[in-house]
Amino acid sequence: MGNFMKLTKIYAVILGLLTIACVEKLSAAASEEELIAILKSNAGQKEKADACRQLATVGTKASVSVLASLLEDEKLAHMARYGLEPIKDSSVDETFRAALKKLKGRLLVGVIGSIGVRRDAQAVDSLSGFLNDADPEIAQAAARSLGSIGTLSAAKALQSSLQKAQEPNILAICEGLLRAAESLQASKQTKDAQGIYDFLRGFKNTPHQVQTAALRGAILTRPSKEGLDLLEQSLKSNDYLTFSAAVMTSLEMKDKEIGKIFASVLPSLSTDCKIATLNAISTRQDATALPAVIKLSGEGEQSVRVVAIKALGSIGDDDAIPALVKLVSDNNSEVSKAAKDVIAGFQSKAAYSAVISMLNASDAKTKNVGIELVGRKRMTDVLPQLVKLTSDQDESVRQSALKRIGELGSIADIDNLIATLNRAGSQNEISAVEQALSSICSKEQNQDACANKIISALSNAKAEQKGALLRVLSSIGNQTALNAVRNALKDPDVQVRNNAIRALGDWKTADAAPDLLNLAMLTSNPAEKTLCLRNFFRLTSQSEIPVNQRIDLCKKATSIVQTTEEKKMLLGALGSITSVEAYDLIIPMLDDANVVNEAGAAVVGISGRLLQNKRNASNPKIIQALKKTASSKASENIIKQANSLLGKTSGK
Amino acid sequence: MHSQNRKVNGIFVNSNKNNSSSEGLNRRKFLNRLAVFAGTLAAPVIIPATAIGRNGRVPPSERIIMAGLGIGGRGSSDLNWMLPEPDVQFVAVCDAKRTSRENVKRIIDSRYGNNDCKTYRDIRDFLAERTDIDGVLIATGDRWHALASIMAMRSGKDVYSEKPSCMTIAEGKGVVETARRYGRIYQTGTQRLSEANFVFAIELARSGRLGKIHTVYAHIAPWDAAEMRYDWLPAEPEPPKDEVDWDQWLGPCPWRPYNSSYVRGGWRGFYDFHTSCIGEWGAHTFAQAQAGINALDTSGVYYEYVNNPTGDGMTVHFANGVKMILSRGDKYWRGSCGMRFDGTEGWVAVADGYSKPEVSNPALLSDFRKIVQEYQTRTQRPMSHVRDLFDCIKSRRQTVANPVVMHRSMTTVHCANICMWLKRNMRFDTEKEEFINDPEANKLRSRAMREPWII
Repeated sequence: MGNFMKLTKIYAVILGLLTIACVEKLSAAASEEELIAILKSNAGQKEKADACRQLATVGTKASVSVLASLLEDEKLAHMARYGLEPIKDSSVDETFRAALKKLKGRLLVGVIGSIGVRRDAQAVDSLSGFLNDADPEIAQAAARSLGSIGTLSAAKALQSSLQKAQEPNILAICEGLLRAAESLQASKQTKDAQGIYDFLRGFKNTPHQVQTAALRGAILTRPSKEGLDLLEQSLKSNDYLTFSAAVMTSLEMKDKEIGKIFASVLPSLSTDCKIATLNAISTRQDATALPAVIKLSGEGEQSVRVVAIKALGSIGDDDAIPALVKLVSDNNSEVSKAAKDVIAGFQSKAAYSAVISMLNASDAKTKNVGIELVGRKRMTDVLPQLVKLTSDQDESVRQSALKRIGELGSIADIDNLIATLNRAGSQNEISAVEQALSSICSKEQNQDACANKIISALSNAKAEQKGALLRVLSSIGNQTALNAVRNALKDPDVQVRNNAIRALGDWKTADAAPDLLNLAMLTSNPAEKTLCLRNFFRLTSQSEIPVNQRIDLCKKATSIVQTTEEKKMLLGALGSITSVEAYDLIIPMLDDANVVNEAGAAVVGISGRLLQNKRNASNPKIIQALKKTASSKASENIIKQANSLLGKTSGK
Repeated sequence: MHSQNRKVNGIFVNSNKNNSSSEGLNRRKFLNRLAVFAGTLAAPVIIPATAIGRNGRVPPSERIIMAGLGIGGRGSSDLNWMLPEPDVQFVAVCDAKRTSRENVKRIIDSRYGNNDCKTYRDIRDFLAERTDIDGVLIATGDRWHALASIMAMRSGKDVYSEKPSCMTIAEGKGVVETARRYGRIYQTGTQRLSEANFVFAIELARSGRLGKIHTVYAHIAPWDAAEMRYDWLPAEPEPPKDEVDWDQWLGPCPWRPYNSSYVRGGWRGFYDFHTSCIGEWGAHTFAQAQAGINALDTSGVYYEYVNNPTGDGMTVHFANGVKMILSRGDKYWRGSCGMRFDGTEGWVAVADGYSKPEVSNPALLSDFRKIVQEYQTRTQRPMSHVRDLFDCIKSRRQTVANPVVMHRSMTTVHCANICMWLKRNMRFDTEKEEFINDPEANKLRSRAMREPWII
């Protein structure tokens, strides 16, 4: 007995090693022989399943018998089919047919499915016998597989079974019939296919999707004229299901007559059906129906009108343009917006011309729409007309034109804009030109060229215009522009000097800061000093400038900060810097009763932001600054905030 | 253990405490009852009033009644995207996993402030009962996408299916045939086809503004491999069917023992369940690429094997002469699901997270708004993928990512995968939908489905 046990163990080990060897082979593309050997061995379910999977790729007739032997194995039956299904050999079909007689339940369902995948016409009789099986899964699988086989005899079996089918099986039998009809149509047996579709149309109690499918097939398999008649008849149906099935089918048809049919039925349809039809016309881009669509765009319910307008855009026919232009001025805002959107996306010369003619309209409203569309359509060659409109008598037109010039223009348009600026009569207009210039300059690669054009305009400009030009230079922000603004600081006109100071305060980099500080130190005019410092601190508050640079600038400013107002400005700038380095400049001012609140607010602001990072909770500089604030004479609210923040630190 | 136990599930067990659930109602029994009550309108005894059915009618003026199938993480994003649509109402959820069913029910009920969302464990029960539902959001694992889509469309539903929407070329073909057969509306979840940045890039390429396009780069997922896993995770005790219906979770895939990791999302990378790093993002980026080269009705014709584990650098050739190069890294873009079109006169690149696409010449970007507007006017597509679906459900026209788009772009994915798995170059006949002179590759175009989950 002991020896027997030992032998059994040794045998098991050898078998295990053999199995492992085979399985290792599997990972390196095993041969068919090796895979068959695994299936014949005592290997486990996993190993055998793997072998079946590989045989699905490399299996031949040689694998059929071993795979067939697994069809009755509940654990491996599926994988046996997995291996068998792709093998191109008639022995597989014979195997599956033979299995139909032996299997039951789910395993039978599986084999029936595989026969359908392989479209084995010789299995029709056997499968037909399952159509009335008491097990709905078997009956339904048979119906679908017969449909996949798709021969006339399969279709006939399905047709006769539908008459007496159990309710749960009806959908599967219909599916089978539809598959068979498609198969027959593909093999040019169109009459037979049509017969199936008509049969299904006449069969009551089928689900809506089957009715849709049957109508679709019935239309598409009929000769052209007959199919179109059925389509038209269905489009006139009061039943939305029939109607929508017809509409959808029309999208698969190429007949030009369909546009005429749509046009003829459209007026009498309900709102929903009108919308669905318009969508179909739109998808088909069918210009034949254009007059009917144009008519609907101009009258009736808003929802229909908007869909009709969109359809005009999809059709893309130039004949729609006059109607669209008219609709732009429609009192209904949804309608006019839709028309405007369509013209904006309409790709044709006629649409282009229509927009240009809008620019020449007598009324400001149409002109403004035209200007907007010029921008949306990126009509850069219309810039000269836009420039003309900058002299229009209506201010809204002038402003719209300037805005679009800024969007579409280039360096070549700067001179025109400067001329417009010089004759601008209102601050609004000056601002509009300024924005257009800034917009153009920001897009241009040659920033120096832009700056030079603006600089050359400075000398002849009036004070207000100079202010605008200086701000444009600030938006350019390069060295050439900076030099020009520096020069303006020496301008005898105080308004120009002040504008130059503000332009420096708007600078994108810290390069302008020394100029502001120097002027603040040198000027004897207190107002100018204040303006310089305000702009200096505005600049140092910009988060784009590195923190260290901002702190250095603030340090430099401390020597000239004297008045309470100036100290408040400094504290405002320091409070915007999220760094413990800022505390060094702020804390001494906590002792100054005139600015203790501003100093406290700066500490609280910086600390709050720093403490969002929990790692800062033990930072001694933060704790010290908050403690100092909490014990200062700042307002109750600030002290409360300081204590609250202290609670978040390890120094609480 | 091998799930043959549907046979014993023939008894109605009212184990669910949730009044709004029909879980446990046996499908066969249900169908038989349905048969009895059909035409009598006595259904409310068993069937809620809503199940009397809308009979496929969703005119433009009506709300679209939706249900969710297999809604997990990604599905929840889709759901949250769909729920705010004013003409959409979710009324049911179906999932093999109880916790997911209940979570999604909570989200839906919370949205509507009621307790009306019904839950189903078995998709067959759900489809048989809910004839009132117009459309379904399918966000199961990849293995179920095509089968659930086909079953839903066969039952008269319109479909939004997450990507990758089919496991094999045959499944993709099945989706196309079923949608066409029953006149169903279907959208695959390649949502970037409805995002302005991607539309702009596609339109730039398509319209000739970049000259003749010669090369497209398509992002594949950087975390997965093209090589797949065939192992089984260690067996764990199978939970009660109401907790996780393992047989249903597996669906058409080969049986394997239960392991909780699979149902928690750990199915990725397994051959039976996943379409590799190529399918993971290629489902998006190949469709995007094919859209830009006017090849949405076809697939790649020649696939060049690359000797690495991921497919990175593989070249796919299209019949129009354009090469598509699979790229795993960030060389051509920053962010996920990137793409780049190279033409004789310029290039455009885009990925998720871009404020605007990158272009060879900044002047191209000035026309951004105009190009997107022109696209929208021509196609009437909204810049919202789910909105496009809902508009199409009402208008009955094809969606932007319709079954053909899904099938053809996913065929490119499957061919690329098969090229990697068989480790050789291969040619594909896009008319016959078969590999040329490569019987082994042709066998990989389909997989026998596990009974009873057979299309």
